[in-house]
Amino acid sequence: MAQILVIEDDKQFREMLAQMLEQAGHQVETAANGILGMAQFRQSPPDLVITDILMPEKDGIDVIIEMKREQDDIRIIAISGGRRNITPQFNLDSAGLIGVRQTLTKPFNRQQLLQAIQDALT
Amino acid sequence: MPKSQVEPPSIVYSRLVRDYWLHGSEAALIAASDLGKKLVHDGLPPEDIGEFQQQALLALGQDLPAVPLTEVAAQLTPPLLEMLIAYGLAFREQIEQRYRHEIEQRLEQNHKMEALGTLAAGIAHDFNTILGVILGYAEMTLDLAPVGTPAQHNLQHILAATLRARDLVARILAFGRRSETRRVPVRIIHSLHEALAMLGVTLPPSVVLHIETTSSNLVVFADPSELQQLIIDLTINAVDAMNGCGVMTFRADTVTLALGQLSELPPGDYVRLRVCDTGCGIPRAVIDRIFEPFFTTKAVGRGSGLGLAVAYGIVQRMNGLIRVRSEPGQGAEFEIFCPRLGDLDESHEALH
Repeated sequence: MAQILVIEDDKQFREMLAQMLEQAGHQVETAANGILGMAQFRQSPPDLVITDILMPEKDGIDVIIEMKREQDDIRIIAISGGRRNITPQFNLDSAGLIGVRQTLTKPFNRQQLLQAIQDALT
Repeated sequence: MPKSQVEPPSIVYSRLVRDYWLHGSEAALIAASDLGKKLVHDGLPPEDIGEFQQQALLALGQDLPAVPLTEVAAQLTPPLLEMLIAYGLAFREQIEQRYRHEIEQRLEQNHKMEALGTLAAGIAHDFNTILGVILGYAEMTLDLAPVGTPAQHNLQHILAATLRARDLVARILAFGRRSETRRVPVRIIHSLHEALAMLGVTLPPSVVLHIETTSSNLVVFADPSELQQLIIDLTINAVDAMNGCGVMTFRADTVTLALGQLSELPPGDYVRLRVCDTGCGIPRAVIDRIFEPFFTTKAVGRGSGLGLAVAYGIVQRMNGLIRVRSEPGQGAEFEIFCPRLGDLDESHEALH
């Protein structure tokens, strides 16, 4: 089982994700935005980061770039529901360009989440 | 009933010419001008007024046998010119008004689409996140519901409804994708076969599909996935209209449009795709609205009202035109015109 850091600005989604991951046996830390997420990442390096892309203050793309700079082999899953004039897939394609291999489009089901985690950790 | 309403226009004109000859009056010229405008208003085609002058001269000769027609014919041209000038101006004005009305309608439709696209894309992120919360908690709660209980049954319905909502958001988002489309040369027949193959298993077996084409090399500049989406939307629409039973025909060919032939399209070569069904047809009362977002004649829950609106947007992005002809009970024909790219080498593997 893995230590997972969830960075997601929507409180309900963040709590749901944490509960789902804990039920699957993982240890979960959460952060409500990119700045808090980076602080948490430095304080307690996780096995895996699940981060939203569109967030206020510091978006997921910046978070991913910064994390990769500090720890090149960090495993990351990017999640997105899209944003103004841009589909979720566009956000996730951007994440893919900066080296994120696992991406999920909101809303996703539990099986998709757990499969992505398994793929990211192997 | 006034005399002018029952008399054929050629007779009215003959009388005007006679009045002009006898009195040389300005009133006759003004009446000739008014007649020209009225002929346009009554929808008389230009070729039908070509004989008026000859008939008027003959009538004048019969009424007044002493008049030497060959000598006076040249003096009787003013009424003819007045009528023709008035006819020409009114005819042109009528055409301009009709085109302006059509173009304004299209522009209004485009504005609606853009507004919806902006709105939809703006809320899509929040909406997908909310759906994610519902989906996640429903799945986790389903674990707690004993097998075979109403709770389990109800939760399964919540999950199914959430997945439907997710698909709907994805379709709405198709409006906001303008900046993302990747247009490449596409063989329309290839897209047609691919789209129908994708639909294959979901189409009712009692729907018969025909494809007729004049060439396998009809190439347009389009986003391949959008072109497939267009065909899928039109097919689903037709299958629904046929109530799952009937014949659908896809006809692809090329047409050359002259200037003004279709007011919205510049002249040139176009690939034309006609999609015909043998369904219930479209009532006249709604045919002007079928490309509007969220307009649907289907029962609540059966149609999102987005299929044809998405199709409209896709064709617009291809710089094309989509229109529909239908009579209630007689099926429908959707006609799509897209600018044609020149013939391309069959070995051009990058093509879709």
